[in-house]
Amino acid sequence: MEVDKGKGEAEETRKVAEADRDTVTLKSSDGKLFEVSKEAAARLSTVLAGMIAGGSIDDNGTDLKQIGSEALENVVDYCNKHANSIPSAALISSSISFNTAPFKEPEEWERKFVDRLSHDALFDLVEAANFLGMERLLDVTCHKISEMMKGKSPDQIREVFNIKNDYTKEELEEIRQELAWAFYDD
Amino acid sequence: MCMQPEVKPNRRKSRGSRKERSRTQAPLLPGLPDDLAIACLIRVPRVEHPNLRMVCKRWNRLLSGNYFYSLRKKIGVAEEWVYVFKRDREGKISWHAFDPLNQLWKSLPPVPSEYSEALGFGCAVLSGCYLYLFGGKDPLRGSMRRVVFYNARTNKWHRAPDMLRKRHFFGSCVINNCLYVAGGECEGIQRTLQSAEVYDPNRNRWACITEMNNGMVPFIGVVYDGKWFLKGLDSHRQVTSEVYLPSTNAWSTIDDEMVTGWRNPSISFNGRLYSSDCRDGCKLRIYDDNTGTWTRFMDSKHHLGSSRAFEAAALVSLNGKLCIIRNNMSITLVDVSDPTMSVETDSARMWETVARKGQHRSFVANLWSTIAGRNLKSHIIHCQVLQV
Repeated sequence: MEVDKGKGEAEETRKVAEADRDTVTLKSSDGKLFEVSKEAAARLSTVLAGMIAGGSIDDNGTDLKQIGSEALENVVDYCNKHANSIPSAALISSSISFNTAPFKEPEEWERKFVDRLSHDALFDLVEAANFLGMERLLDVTCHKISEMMKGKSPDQIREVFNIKNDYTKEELEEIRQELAWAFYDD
Repeated sequence: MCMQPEVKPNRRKSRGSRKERSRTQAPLLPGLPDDLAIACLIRVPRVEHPNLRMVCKRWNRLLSGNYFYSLRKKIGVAEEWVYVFKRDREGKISWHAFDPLNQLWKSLPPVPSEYSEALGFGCAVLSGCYLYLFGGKDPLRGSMRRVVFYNARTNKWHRAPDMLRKRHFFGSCVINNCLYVAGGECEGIQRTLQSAEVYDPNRNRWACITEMNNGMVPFIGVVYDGKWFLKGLDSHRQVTSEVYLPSTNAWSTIDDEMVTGWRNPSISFNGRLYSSDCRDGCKLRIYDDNTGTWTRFMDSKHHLGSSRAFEAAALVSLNGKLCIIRNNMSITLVDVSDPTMSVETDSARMWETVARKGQHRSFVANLWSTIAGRNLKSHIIHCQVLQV
């Protein structure tokens, strides 16, 4: 299928609606418009698939009030990259069986895709992926956040994720004792 | 010092206080709803879990509960580690875990004191993450009924109900997540034991099952084709074999090619029975049901040696591969769908690093190992795999 390779830039002026378009237009909470392949959107997002099937797609831009323009741009970017990089048969089977299938490691391009995101953009994308029912994108973004915790001390984790240490000194010592055996090899 | 019986009752929190807490408590990950924060946290590798628990109280609570681990299992990120029990030349028991992902040996909390020098005790895994030690003979107190288990999720030991009978050097197995024990010896009784019993963790009690036809001190056992096979020595020191069918609760004696050609260590893996065909496990045999014979399955053509250090102590299933573990703590992974693709892990070298560190702590131990040779120091008595 010919796919419009919208780069995800905001499109302020909407294209002329055609009767049988192969893209859908999405509108972020701050009113920006993005165009994405209808096929990719339906395949990667259960929510968009439902809207497309149910005819609730608005040619003037389907309102996604929960998603800011930066996150939506990333969503659209991901959809287009995905459409270009993976044979759809493999993808369909993986998206259907996601809930029970063992976790599949992110592919190289997916890794690069999330690696370039800022902390806030990554977190926003997790929420957007969740809202749109994009299992694979949710998987990849959550995996990235989990990787940000690897090899870090509790102090470093707190700093990166802005978490308050609510242990007293004594409590922390107690739990350190309890876990002491696990630290033996450090 | 290390027994930590489960004494904490589940304090019931009032509805009000829980609501209060969720309204006032900080989010698990600032910037994300808790359900999405949990989706991130469950993906963090197991080796990092102690660190996560020290970040804040909510993370500690999350990682202390079963919910977290059931989610890990559900999305397919639960990790299997190998657990090895060793006996050193002074008879002391120690145990260690191997993380195959990071190729790291981890130290573990000491075994409960009853087991620190016990002989002939059983070892089995229930529900994937609970490691049970049961029975055995304490050098001072004699045969034991005792049952303890280690929870790999919480890194703690707990008591379980005692067995009905004291016994050591018995056979044991797990069928349908129930723990079976049979035969063995009991101090003060001349005969070898015929009795057998089963522990069901859901009912949390032991019950007798049918006795074996003959008393036996088993030296090898396996669950294969839904049946429990045991081979051992009877009261007259003669080799005897019996098979137990759980559905009919009946034992029968058996003397076919399967049991006569069956050697330690062995494993029932993906429904097929494998047995070591060389002391160091460089060759494996497989039992063919149709012809009733053992045939060559794998020959790595890499014979390590016949010393006790290289002796294959156990075969276990690890991450879908057949795993050979030797006394020197080396681990070979075999892909049974393509046995030429066996992989030698870095476990032995990593172990030497850990062992050397341990030796520095004790000059005497260091001296002993110099005199006796490092490899003679200890041997593996049990090997299991726990998933968290």
